[in-house]
Amino acid sequence: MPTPARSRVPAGLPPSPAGWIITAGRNRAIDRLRREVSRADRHAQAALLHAGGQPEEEGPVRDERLRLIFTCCHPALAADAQVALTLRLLGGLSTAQIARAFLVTEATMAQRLVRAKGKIRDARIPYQIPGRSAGSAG
Amino acid sequence: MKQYLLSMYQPDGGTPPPEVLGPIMAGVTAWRQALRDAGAWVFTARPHPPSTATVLTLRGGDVVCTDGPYTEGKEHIGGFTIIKAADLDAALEWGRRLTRITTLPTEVRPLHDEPAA
Repeated sequence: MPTPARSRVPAGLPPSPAGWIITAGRNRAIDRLRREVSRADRHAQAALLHAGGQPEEEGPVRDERLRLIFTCCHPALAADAQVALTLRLLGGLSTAQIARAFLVTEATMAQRLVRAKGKIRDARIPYQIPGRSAGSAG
Repeated sequence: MKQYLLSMYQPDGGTPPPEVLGPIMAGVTAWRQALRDAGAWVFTARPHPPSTATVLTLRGGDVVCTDGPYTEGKEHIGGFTIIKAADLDAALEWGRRLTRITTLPTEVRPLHDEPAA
């Protein structure tokens, strides 16, 4: 650590108050500049000190629910099936509630959900967050 | 690995002139080679036009033979390829490439897993 350039606060009135203020201000500025210069180093040191063991391997998103949203909303599923499936599996709504929102009977909605889940299983729609290259835009 | 059927739907009627068909066929050949190189190719077939089809139907204990395709439509399956892919996204990617080449719709359908012979 560099020696602080800060001036001591004098006991009484300094011999030249104006001179003292200018010198104290300049020293303060030097201290500030020194701190700014070493900030990145100190942050890196702190990060190293506090990182316990091996850094954890992780994807960009760890939330399991996000992967499920991408599966439910896969473009290979019909749009209304995507919405219904997401409301059912992630929104926590019952089949009857979703059927009411879609203005269809509960049996119709139940069949739609079964068909969508069947397609996810049989066509092996992946349970993953799509990469940058994947998707309907390609 | 799962198997998928990629069917190419083409409109009924004659084939396009050679100057149009040539580059498309070259593109499809390159696509098939890319599948082979990736170890994803299983089988390809190009049926003759629907007018060459014959349908066999069971009627009163007899099998009746009739001329023509089973269903008449404005499109027919012009060719199909069976591929191996890890999941639907991988299969769709191959299908996407084929549709860009042929400009025709491609239908992607998963096949049932057959027990190993």
